[in-house]
Amino acid sequence: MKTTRKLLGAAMVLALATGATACTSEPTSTATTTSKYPEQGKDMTIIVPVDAGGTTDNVARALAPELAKELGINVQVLNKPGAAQQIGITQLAQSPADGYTIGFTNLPSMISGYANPARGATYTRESFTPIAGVAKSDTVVAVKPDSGISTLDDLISKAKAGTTTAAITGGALGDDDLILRQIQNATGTKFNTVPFDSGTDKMLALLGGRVDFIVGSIATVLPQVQNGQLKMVSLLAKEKNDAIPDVPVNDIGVNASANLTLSGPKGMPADVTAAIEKSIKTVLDKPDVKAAIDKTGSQTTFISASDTSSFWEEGDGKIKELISQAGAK
Amino acid sequence: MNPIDGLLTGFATVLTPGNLLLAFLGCILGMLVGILPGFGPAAASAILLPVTFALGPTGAIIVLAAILYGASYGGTVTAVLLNVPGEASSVATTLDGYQMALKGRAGPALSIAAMGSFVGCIVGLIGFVIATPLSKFALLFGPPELFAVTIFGLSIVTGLAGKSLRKALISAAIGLMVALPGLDPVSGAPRFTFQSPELFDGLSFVAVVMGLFGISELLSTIDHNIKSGRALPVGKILPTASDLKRSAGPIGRGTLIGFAMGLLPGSPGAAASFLSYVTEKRLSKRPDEFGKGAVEGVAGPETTNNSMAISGMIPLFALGLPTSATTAIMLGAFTINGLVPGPLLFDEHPEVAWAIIASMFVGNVILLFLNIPLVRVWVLFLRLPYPVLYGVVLGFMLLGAYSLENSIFNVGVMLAFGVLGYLLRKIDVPLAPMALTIVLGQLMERSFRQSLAMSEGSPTVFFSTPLATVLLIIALLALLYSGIRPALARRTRFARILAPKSEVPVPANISTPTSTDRNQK
Repeated sequence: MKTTRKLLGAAMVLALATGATACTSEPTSTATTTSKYPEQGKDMTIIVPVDAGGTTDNVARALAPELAKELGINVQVLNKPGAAQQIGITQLAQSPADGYTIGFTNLPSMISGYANPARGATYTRESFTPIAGVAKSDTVVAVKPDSGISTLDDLISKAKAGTTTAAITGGALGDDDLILRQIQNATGTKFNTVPFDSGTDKMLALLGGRVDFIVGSIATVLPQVQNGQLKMVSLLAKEKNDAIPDVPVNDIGVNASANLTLSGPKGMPADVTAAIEKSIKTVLDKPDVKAAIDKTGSQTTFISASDTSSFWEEGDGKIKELISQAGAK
Repeated sequence: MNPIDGLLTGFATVLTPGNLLLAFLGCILGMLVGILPGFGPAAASAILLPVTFALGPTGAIIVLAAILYGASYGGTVTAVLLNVPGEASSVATTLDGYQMALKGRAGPALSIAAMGSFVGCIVGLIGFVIATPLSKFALLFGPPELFAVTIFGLSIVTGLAGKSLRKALISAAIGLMVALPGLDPVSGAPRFTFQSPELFDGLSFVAVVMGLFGISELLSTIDHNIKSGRALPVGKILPTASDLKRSAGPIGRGTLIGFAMGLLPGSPGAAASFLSYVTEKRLSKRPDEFGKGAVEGVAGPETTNNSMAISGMIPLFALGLPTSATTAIMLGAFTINGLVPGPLLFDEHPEVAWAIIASMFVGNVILLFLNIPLVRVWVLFLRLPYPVLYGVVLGFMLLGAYSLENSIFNVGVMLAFGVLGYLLRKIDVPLAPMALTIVLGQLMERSFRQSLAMSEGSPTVFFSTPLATVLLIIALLALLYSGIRPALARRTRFARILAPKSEVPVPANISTPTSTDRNQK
């Protein structure tokens, strides 16, 4: 029948199309010999596992052109969002370890991606070569100015007296949830949590009075604080943050400081890693790069590969313990 | 600075050669983005973000905003001419727009759409100017209120039914199933994800819609024995006076619907154009024409998706909170330039804020003057032979699906749903209900679980605020009405068939039929 022939033709075209597009997909892990790094004419890709417009993306775009000048090659930013960074980070882990593909493996947020068995991640800490940390991102507890909560103690007392609700992103065993568990462990309280899809949604819930508080990065809440719509009551870090000198460091020993970290896949040659690390340090010293990154709400800080590695190991242990405590299957 | 002064200063800044050129470029890019199926304003903004660094905050936001509202103008073109929606919000336009094109009325369809789009944007912008109280509106909608809105949305499904209600419900049910894969909102446990992290966030709505409507349309066309050339007649370009008169109401209502839905968080907005379509169908004196080329079915939805694009920016400007991917990129552009959108922006940098708002007025005028003459050009495309035209469209759709998340997976999703859509068309199952329930399904479950989480399991949370209670009652009534309506219609038809013919002879000097005559079988 004519229709059958046409349909067969259409099916072949569709198959060809899928095949063609599939062939242009993710790079496979083939080993390449590195003569001198960086080779002229090659491009570096920085994988950003979140959508354009977020903090990590803004930082990446502030870094890329300067890094390109420093290394003498083209540096481009590739957004690979999805599954709370798992998709982008998986691609990073599967990329060739030749120094031309690096990506953001922000710590400790990416740890729960592989530490939580339910997420079925195909990578672990060993799948990566840490290169450098480029910025610190501190976490704060934020409430509405008229909520009657002025300190963390107020919040804890309120929680002990009745139910206190927090808006979180990431669901159970996500970033926010793990931070709340640390607070709960330190104070013996229990919070009620309501999950939301994005930082914006959780702030809308707080602004609308649906929940009592949120925990979030300074970058996320800063615009609202500057607009007078939110108030930061406690800093969940070890030391004071100069950008927000009025916010007290928490006295219950919770440290939820995050590092924006660049890594490559495992097996990167040591000299290549060192070369990139050195370039990043140089770039971060430049005042306009520093200013650009600071504007995103994070603080420009160079953290060496070895310090990053230790931070990662420490976070790894802490989060795995929190997850097993939660009884994840 | 009061709004009038602000606007005047804004116009002064915008009506300079540099900014005008930027607005113009943004509009062109926006239209292009709207026409290319699958490639949306979010993807285009992401690509242009590095370029906007060099432009400064005013210039950057002028361009990004122009892309956003320009895309809602462009999405109509492929929807009307090819039955392939250019944007997710253009799906409702395909229902009647393509039918109008089949009757040689593509020109009027596109013209009315452009006019409605213009009105939608301008009224939306006026609302923008009095933005601050409106932003509080967004805050009123928490999880219980949004849940009620989604229930109301379900009641629209029967309005999209067409001939068979049963098939529409099947379609709606499949849509709800499609909304299932993903991570459980509360426990985070993967559900129907087949071990694939790409499904953790659920199926991409745009990829699904592109496949369901776009690819299935291509496949269906191959089915029909058209060798070359086009079967679409090309008629008049401009709409008739009757078209304009009939479109006035839909445009007015569409503006309000789009404006309100654009302000809501959680993006139920994709359902807004469906809401407009069904509202027009229910209010129309000629409901049978819907689905066969009723101009109201184009005017309403097109106006809606434009005013929604504008009001979607209000939470960003008034509260500093981005409620969509494109506005998130705009926030990034503000941040990089050291600006904080929100009330502070209007206080400390009013010239930037008002320049951007003024640019949107100017941009829309530019788009109106671009679009009306361009209708002639679009209609010329109808002369291209099918194989060439559809080949190009397919290429762009593959590219567009990839560009959603830089992922091949979405291309696969689009193609798979294309095959599904093709099969459903063969058995006459309508696709529009499915598109609606996919949007609603995810939001419905999420807001339901969030509401119960807020109240720790107590169902009284759905009546916790007056707004939630009122919305829920309206929703349940709407659901009830939409359920009874088909049954009522059947009974009245049945009754008329049984009624004895009138014994009074019709006088010879009465030539025009009365309304009762027209309704009799």
